[in-house]
Amino acid sequence: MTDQSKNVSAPDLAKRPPRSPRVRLGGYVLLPRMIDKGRADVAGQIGEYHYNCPLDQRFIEFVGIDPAALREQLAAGKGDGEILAWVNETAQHKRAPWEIEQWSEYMQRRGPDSDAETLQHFAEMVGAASQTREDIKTWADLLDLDDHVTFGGRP
Amino acid sequence: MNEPININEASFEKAVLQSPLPVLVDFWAPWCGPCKMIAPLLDEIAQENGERFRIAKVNIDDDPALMQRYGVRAVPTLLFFSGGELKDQIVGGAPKQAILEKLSNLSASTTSA
Repeated sequence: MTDQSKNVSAPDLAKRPPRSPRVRLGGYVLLPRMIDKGRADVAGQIGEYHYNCPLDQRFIEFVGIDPAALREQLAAGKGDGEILAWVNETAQHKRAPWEIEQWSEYMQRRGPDSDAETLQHFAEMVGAASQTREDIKTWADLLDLDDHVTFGGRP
Repeated sequence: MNEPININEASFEKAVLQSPLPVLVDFWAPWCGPCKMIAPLLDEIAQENGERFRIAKVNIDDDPALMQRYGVRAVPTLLFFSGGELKDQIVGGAPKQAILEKLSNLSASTTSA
């Protein structure tokens, strides 16, 4: 256990998944999941997950914060409410409630909408988790399914 | 080929308020799904009607001041200007024909004035 990790009550992501990408904090989807991964990273128990992954970066870009600075706040042992207050205070883009709501709705419904490589990656991940599910259309659907299957759930 | 022009607070006065042509201003954001859907329609309108209308785009992430100035509370929001005045608006996505009708109304009012 590192000195940094002593302050942090972190989930062990080798044993259970982070919160769903749909869970919100301060209206923001993705943020609670990123917080869980950040705490687990600080504690050295992030498993197969990645802090500041491409989906996390969507949140980072939307609010305009430094992911390394967010990790430092998590390493200091701050709770969710304190992290939200820090995000809102530090954010380069001070978002109105309607912007947060519209962004969160968009991110929650967003599917693979870019290049062929991304479409192929999405299809391969769905196929690896389930050969029968036909309702996996969004990144949130896929991550929820992958989390469920990774920790022993049946698709 | 006529294309939508990207504008900001500094260029707004000249590009929109002093424009001799009616102007549609599209307030959009990179994280907005409906904005991505409406963008090709605006490209088409600019290409097909560039002599009659000007299509301008404001990225609200880059220019929140213009968004606040015009009370934009959702994206996309389309504001229609003529003679330096705000004449009409559409909030949210809209079919091409509805956008063209509003632009045509601007032209008619400009011509009859």
